[in-house]
Amino acid sequence: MNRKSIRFRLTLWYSIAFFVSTAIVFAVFFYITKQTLLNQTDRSIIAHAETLTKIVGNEQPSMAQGVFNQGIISQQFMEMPGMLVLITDKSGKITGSSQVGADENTILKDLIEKSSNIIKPTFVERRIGTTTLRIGVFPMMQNGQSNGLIFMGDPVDAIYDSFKSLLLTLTTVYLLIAIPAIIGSYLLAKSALQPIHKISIDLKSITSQDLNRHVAVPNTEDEVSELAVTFNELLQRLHESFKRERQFIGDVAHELKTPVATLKGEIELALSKKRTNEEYKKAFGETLIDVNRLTTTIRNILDLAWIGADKAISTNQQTDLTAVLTELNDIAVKLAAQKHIAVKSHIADGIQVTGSEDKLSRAILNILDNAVKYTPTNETVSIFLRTKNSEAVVEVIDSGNGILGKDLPHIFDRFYRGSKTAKTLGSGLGLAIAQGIIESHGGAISIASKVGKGTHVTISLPLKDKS
Amino acid sequence: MRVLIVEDERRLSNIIKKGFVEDGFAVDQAFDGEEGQYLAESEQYDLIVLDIMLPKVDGLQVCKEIRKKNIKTPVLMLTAKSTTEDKVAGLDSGADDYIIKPFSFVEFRSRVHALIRRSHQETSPILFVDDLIVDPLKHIVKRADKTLNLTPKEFAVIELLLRHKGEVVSRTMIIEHVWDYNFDGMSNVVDVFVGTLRKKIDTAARVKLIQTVHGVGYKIG
Repeated sequence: MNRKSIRFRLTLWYSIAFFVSTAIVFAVFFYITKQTLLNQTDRSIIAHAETLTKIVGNEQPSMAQGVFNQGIISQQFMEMPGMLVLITDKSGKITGSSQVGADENTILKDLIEKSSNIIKPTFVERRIGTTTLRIGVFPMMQNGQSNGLIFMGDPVDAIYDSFKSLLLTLTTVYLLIAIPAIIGSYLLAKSALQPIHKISIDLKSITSQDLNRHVAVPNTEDEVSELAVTFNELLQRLHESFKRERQFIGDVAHELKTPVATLKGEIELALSKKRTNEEYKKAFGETLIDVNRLTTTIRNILDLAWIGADKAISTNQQTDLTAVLTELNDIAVKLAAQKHIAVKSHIADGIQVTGSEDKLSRAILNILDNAVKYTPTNETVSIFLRTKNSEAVVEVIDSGNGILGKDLPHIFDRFYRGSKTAKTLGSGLGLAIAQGIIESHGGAISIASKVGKGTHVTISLPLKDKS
Repeated sequence: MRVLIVEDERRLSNIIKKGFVEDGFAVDQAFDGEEGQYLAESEQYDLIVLDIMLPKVDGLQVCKEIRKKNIKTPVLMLTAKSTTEDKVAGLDSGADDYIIKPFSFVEFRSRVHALIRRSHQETSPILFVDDLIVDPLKHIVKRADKTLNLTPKEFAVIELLLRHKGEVVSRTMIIEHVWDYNFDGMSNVVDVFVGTLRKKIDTAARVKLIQTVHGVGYKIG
């Protein structure tokens, strides 16, 4: 398994978390159980010690002898096998024992020495022979003074055996839980990541050729289905832009084919037989016209392709729209003069917009060029520039041919030419370029037209920020 | 041969026309589908060169319409559309051949001649009678192995007569197939051309090939 995969890491972290928490729970459980059992033992030792203290108190008169009546002690603790009782006096001398002369007394000697200044009940554990004893050391207080110690030992082997088996059981259970826990966490991680894995497989199989395909959306309405939906939206957008680009390339190819066919025909025809110098000269002249047309078309295509990319650059510049319109007006007058078209204009002063002067000028020129092109002789073209609602508004109105209703929705399409327009009149890119430029400047362009009445183009651009 | 070019791109149309004229063809031009359909239905052509993307009525529609009117003139589609679907649509509309822009002019000419040949149910690209050989593609005329120098119009007349070998070809038919729509000459122009043709073909030869059928026209072979 890939160690960097989320599945692996999830399994690892889940398992670690599980082991640590289980270990803590088991340890606490073990500790509490142990303490409880020991406390019980201690309590019973305390109870016995109290009984013994009483007896010792009653036996006080015989203390002179320095030795307790062994019988009493034995009798008292008979029913408790293995119990050890040892009584010492102030100086640490053994005054009574449940097992007279036994080894225990000497083994406990160091304990007796250490305990000489104990004033509170204390518990220790000692190993005597083969058994472990929990020994309670109790001072015998008389008038606020220690009057000797009672050592009371209770064998705790059974308890420790229980601890051992408890520990063993817990460890076994712990280990037994571990395997299903690892497998479980692995499966959990796998099932949680499975839909993502599926999406990734789906995405891998999608190429630029079949972008219309989609990722299957799991019917869970969770984060994964949201991810799938997001991917599908992305694919959709990619598909559309691919389609647009492909269409554009197709259109470009188509647009270039006809002039190339013309050019090729001209050349082949000129070469098909021997001709006079005049004829060759004429043929060259013709091919030059076609080459120029091709150049214009290619330039337009490139302009169109770069409009979107130039967006960021054009926003830093300031353009005096009044100056641009004044200059364009002069050009329009010259263009119109050839066709005896009158140009009227009203250009407001000092209108500034943000954007590239070259590009805006190009866009508006395309509109003016169209207006002059499609307006018959002796008609009028009007140009207006004014401000309205913090926008600069350019209007170009002609009393020309107008645009057919069925063409109107398509006039901004690349390479679209009106159904009545002859191909020779242009590349079909002028309006598309104008729209591209205006929109990349945050403006809008709209066209209203009536056949036989004329066309009204309105361009609005946001005014330069006063600040 | 008389050809109709239906192509809205004027410069391309003019180039094709120029090529045809140099081959001695009579050429009419239409710049939109409507005009093209009108000419195709009202005039006699040996071939129609038809663009698909045309203003007013598109080429496919024009082709379907003229086929519906039982006009059997071969149609050569000339278009920038190059997908299989486009070709299928073009041929299915009734076109006889399909050539994609930008095309080679040499190939275009060969296809044009092949189509004309087929429509006259000829197999050989070379036309002949007796020892007179006419090669329309190479634009060569030979009589008894001697190359003759003909003007394009003379060539067109002899080609037409040979394509109708053994039949009487009327003056009107010659005018219709050799001169274009704008021709407004007198019908004796045919007699003038046949006269110069006779001089070039028959004068030096023993067998006179071009015969006059009085009151009707001419016949060869």
